[in-house]
Amino acid sequence: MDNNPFSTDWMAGWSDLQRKIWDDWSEATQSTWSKNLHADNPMNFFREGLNRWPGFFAPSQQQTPEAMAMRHAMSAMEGFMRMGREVFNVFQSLTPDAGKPGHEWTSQLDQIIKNAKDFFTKNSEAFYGNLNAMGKTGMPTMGMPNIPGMPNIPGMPNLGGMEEMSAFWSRPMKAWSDFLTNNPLFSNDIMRSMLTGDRSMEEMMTRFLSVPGLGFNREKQEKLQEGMRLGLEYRKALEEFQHLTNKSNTRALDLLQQKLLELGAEGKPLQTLRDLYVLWVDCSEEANAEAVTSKEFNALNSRMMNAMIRVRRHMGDVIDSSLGAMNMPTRRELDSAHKQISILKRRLHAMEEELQELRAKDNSADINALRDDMEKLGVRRLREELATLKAQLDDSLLAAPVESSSDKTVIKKTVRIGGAKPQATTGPAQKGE
Amino acid sequence: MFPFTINPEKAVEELARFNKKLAAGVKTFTEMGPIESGVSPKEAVYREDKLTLYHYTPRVDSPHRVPILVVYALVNRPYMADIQEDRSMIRGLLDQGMDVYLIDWGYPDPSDRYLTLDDYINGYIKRCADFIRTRHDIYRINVLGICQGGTFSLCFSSLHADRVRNLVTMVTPVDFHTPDNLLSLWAQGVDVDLLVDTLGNIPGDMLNLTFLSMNPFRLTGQKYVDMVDLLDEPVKLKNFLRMEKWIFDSPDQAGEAFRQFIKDFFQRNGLIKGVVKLGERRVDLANVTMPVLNVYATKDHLVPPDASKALKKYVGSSDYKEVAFNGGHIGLYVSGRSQAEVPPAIANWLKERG
Repeated sequence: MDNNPFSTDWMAGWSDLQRKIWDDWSEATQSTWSKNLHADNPMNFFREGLNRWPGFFAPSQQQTPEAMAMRHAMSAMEGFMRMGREVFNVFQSLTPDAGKPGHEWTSQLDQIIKNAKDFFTKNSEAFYGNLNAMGKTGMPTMGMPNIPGMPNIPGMPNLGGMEEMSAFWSRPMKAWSDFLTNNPLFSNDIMRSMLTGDRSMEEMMTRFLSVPGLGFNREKQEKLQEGMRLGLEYRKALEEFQHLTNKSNTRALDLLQQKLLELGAEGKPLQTLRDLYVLWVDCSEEANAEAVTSKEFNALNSRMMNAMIRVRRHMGDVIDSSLGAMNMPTRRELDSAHKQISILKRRLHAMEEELQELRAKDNSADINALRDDMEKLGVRRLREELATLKAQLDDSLLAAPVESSSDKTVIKKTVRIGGAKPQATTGPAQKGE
Repeated sequence: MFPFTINPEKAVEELARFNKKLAAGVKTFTEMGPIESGVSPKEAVYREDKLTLYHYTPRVDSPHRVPILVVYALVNRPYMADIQEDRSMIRGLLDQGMDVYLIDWGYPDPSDRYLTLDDYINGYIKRCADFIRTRHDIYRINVLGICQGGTFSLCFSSLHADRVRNLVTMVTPVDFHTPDNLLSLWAQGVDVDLLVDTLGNIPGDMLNLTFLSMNPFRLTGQKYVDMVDLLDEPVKLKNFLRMEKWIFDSPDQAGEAFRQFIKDFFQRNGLIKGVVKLGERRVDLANVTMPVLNVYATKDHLVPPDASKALKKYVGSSDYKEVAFNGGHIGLYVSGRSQAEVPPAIANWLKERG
């Protein structure tokens, strides 16, 4: 392996190593099944394996399409694998003759769907739990009823149900969460705390807001309180939005149950986990499409968005005030400068265009028109008459005697008008020549 | 009948196969090499601020005498129109003998926050059009607007009809208040003044999130699970990654232009009401009197067909034609069928009009 840090060889070598580990894991998983090791739940191998996958791309947090796609793929895979694990558990929980003809499997399906729906309807903290669950190995306890046959997992609470699925259900909100955490405009402790579901912080903030500002720092206290008030509003809007999302998720489960019943009635059973996953996605999209076109969604989505931006604006104001106090450039100053530059650029473009038009303009038409006007006015005839008159005037001047002055001799010139030749004379300077 | 033939053993085997495929795919990823896009040869012929005007190298000896200016949307990057050799609308037009120019808007930064729609349409587009007119010593050019770029092209054609010989609009929103326009529905409640006053430019990621929210489970989940099937097919995987690159390659939006677009177009539906003002001039679609070809996609979830087809009612041209492509918004550029159908339809229509 090349030790040059600028070489990409290390990445390939490292990747090979990781791949080998994973291959071993995959093979071990299959052999485990045959050797009846982890017979209580062979899916544990997959659970542990899932935690290894993110390491593949850990050294390079680069934003190349390959790395991004693979990270997205890992995340999506997690949803699929967790679903697979959950389905495995559900099948283990079924009575042995569930799949046999004549067995009343629909009541068991009812119970499974009911358990899944309880995840969303009975637990108001589901959203925060989902977000906390993302990227962590531990899952919060959701108070779910235990499903018979669900094994205990070392280091994990016995959740007995839908938590594994949360990676799938929470995908839309995860995208939102990722946006907030990855975007420097929003990434900060306050915004993140809004997503953590930290009730103790909320209680602390509520208490703080009830204290009036006093003394020299009154204004600063009020600003801080305003920020917290806005933060609480955002959190409330976020909760309301999540409740709507949970409703959509329960609707998707209704659709899933309905479609499974239809498949059963039609005698077209699902053959693979992948088939089930696709059906699940279809149902979720159908429910989502119903939700996002509702007035309720529009109102809650807008409220959440606007509340978030108000928090962000308040933070920006506070930061600007602090920067100003330190005599450092503020966002307001930069905005003002950019605005002025934009105005100047517009003026410059307008002047350039005007100049270009003037340069390109053909004035010959105007000149010809003026000539025509002059012709119409008889300017030529007037000129000729004027020349004649001037010639007559010259003649009369030439006939006059030469004047002399005491200190100098002035050559009198006649103005050439109307073709009369100039004649030099001597005499005093005359005003107006 | 029990609706599953899956049992625990089959489930484990399926996941194991899946894992193995995924593991093998890592090697394919590391050997993939750079993901190139924007494949047709081109030359930068005019630059201004972040904008670059490209001229594509013609692929015939004597290209059509009237060049086309392609105006793309501000959202996402224009290389979608030329994403790979066998999936390129630009190449299709070049093969049909067209002489093609394209505006690449670049990536606005905070210094571009105060760019308005007037700057974009009466400024950048007009100067690009004038550059081409001068370069070709021609009075009027053809304009092809894509998506939001189509809306811009309509505004430009309304205000500068003397510069446009023929106008082609592709998946272009005109009526922003059709009942099936989800983006418009969401935009109604957004306090865009608060948004722009606070953020300045609007982050591209925020727009991406909005688009993903339209089909969140499919676009953030199923798509990547399906990708595993491509991991042992490097060519298909590369094509997938190329699309992926484009989807997440989202420039920030200049704040003031975004504000005006949301308010005047999405919220007020001002284009068809004739109340959009750019600079001191009002945009009136009745002034779009040149021949118009309106291409829309029948399964477009971003710009519903009715939003595009509304143009017929408001446009001033007596030579108006529609082409319906049986597919979606993205499929119109990249699907194999669109390569065979769309560029020839556009080129033939333009050639018929000289």
